[in-house]
Amino acid sequence: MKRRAFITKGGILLSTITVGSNFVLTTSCSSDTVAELSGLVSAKEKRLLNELGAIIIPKTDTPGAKEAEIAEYMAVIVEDCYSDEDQEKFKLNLSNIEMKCSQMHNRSFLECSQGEREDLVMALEESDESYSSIKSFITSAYLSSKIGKTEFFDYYQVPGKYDGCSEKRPW
Amino acid sequence: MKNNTFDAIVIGTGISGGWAAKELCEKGLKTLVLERGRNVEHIVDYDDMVPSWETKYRGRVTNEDRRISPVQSGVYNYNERSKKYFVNDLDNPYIQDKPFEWARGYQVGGRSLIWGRQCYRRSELDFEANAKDGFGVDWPIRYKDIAPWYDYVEPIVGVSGSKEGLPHLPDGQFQPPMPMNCVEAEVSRRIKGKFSDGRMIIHGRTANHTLKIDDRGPCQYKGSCGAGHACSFGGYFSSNSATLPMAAKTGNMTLRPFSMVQEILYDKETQSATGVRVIDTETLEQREFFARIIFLNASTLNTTAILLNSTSDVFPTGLGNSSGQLGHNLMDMPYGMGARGTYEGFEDKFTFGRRPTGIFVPRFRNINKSTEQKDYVRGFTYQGGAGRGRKASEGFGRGYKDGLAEPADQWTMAITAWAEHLPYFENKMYLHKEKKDKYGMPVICVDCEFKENEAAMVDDMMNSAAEILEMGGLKNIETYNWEKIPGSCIHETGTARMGKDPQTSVLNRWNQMHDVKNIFITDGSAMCSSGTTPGPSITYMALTARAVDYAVKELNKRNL
Ligand SMILES: Cc1cc2nc3c(=O)[nH]c(=O)nc-3n(C[C@H](O)[C@H](O)[C@H](O)COP(=O)(O)OP(=O)(O)OC[C@H]3O[C@@H](n4cnc5c(N)ncnc54)[C@H](O)[C@@H]3O)c2cc1C
Repeated sequence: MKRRAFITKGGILLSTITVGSNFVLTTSCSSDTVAELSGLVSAKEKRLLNELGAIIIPKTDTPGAKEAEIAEYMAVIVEDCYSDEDQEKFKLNLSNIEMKCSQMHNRSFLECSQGEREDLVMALEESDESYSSIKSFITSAYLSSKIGKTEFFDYYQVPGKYDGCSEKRPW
Repeated sequence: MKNNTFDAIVIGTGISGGWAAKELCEKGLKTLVLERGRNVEHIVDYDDMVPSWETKYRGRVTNEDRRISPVQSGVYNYNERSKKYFVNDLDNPYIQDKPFEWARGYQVGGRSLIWGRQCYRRSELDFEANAKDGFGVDWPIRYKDIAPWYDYVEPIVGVSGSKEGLPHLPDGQFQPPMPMNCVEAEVSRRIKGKFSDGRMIIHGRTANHTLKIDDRGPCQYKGSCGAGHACSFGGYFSSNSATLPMAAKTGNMTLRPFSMVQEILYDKETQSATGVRVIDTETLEQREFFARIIFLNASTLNTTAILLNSTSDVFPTGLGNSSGQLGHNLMDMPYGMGARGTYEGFEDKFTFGRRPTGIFVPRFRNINKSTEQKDYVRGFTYQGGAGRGRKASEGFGRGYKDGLAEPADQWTMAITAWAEHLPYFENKMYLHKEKKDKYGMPVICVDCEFKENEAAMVDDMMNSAAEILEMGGLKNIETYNWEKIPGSCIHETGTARMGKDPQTSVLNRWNQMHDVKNIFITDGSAMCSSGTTPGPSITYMALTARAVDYAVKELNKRNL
């Protein structure tokens, strides 16, 4: 059983919602024992996501996906927002990527060097559905993070005006 | 005055109830305002200034949301933050005899917190339509009856828009319009005068303020209203930002949240309503309140549900239902048919700021002899806009990352139709005989569909949109149809219509009940037609102010 409190400002919505049944159901079909302790996405999978993120969206003059800690957010979304079917697909996509990695380099992604990781991603870029699905998820996690919104892009919370013919990019 | 007796009672605090409260209080009546939901205080209770990355799901809808609100979670602006302004569907069930999406917000402010803010006056064509083609009953009013009341409410609502001088889309008391962007302006210029039926592109008319009204606004173009997050700058009209504070300022308003009205109390002797029976939605305790006049503003289906649940020897099928029309003639508006295309040019230009409105195409079908259609009566309008997104980047690493910040090669533009839904007696709501919600209120059943006339417009709505974009110089034009079900336009109207004849209508020309003179209904229930042009709420507001004016005069003449 897992209980989660939703509390918003001003006490508008103060309630506890039980999401137990869904949690049990989805983890029971996973063979990963770590997952059962810490949630649907294991610590190892999170590390994989962050490191894969670092290859896809690296640190340049702005922080990259790993610095934005995309995996924490992705895990929350998979657990609370994905349908059972999409959760399974997500897990399968990650294990497919790992499988390709061991076929190519004979070890897991986390054990690979930077160069080996880049070689793998280069190969996956060709046409790999598992990879492209994870890649677009990583990208949206990065772009919606604080780093993505405020450091990669310029952030205008209160634009104060509308210019429908602006010279400047609004992001 | 006893603490349960007032001059007036208003049921509901949404767009129409907020206006009823303000007008009654400003005219000096001690007014009890009953709202089934919790209080939401302007600015104090808003979280629009919290950055999106600080919210757990960064806006996304969860499985739990979909479970508890299967209908609401499908509304376009239902998200992590706006969901607190939408109902829990499990706690507030209704039965769809035919698919009907019913978007609801039960709190102080109702749906005024989350509405789309588009405001268009109805024209003489709309008020004459039923009489001319014979669908529904004739409106008991004409444009000249409501025009002064549009004039009265608009400056307080704060509608921005442009004056165009069109008889079929009357101008109003507007604040300056929000600007078109360069592509919209260019497309609008290119089509000007090119269509024999007068098709044109004008500024959207919206209750977002380009000028400050007291401490409200102006709009900061941050986009929180469209996302349903409310606005800490008071940049758009809501009951919470405008009418309820104005009502409170008079000292005449008693606002009572968590008070769900279940029944109107009727006295056979005086043939009038004496008050209401309320259930406290937190404690489930019942209470009665009394007043000389009652305004029902609980929104289209809920207002009629209260009446259907108020039965007596005199009104065995529902209060004020001697005509048998109560619950019938339910309408929404079909929408979602349109076209999109890409624009070559302005590649070095962008838009800055999140404009909460777009462009508008006034109706051009069946507005005169030369635009008469063989296949259908009435017509449609378009809303839309142009924009420039970002490119889909390719590859990985630095190049991919840099590419994510690159603009799309071209601008795109889309326009989408909103059409009239004719009043059909068979389209209806009624109360389930056994099923009740957790407050003991019978569950509402909805049986509503689009029929031949609505279907006959679909192809024309798609093709005409493509023609407009083509004339405007867009390329790669595609048409689309979202195939929306009734209700999903969230313009539900009818079920307690106005009319000249008490035999065929529930309300008279003053939104006053034929059968029970001290009851007034000024929400969407009162409508005789959906109108061709969307944005019905400004009409509810004008009719509310007009009805209060009449009701208070009648009270003073001792006619009520
Ligand atoms: C996403 C969205 C976009 C929209 N866009 C537009 C638009 O662009 N233009 C436009 O004109 N309209 C738009 N609408 C529709 C608009 O919101 C409604 O027309 C308007 O709010 C109706 O006003 P109302 O006063 O009748 O009802 P509401 O605003 O719904 O208020 C009704 C109130 O009554 C309360 N209530 C209900 N039953 C009871 C009861 N038994 N006892 C006590 N209280 C009760 C409710 O809790 C609620 O607060 C939109 C709506 C939504 C949700």
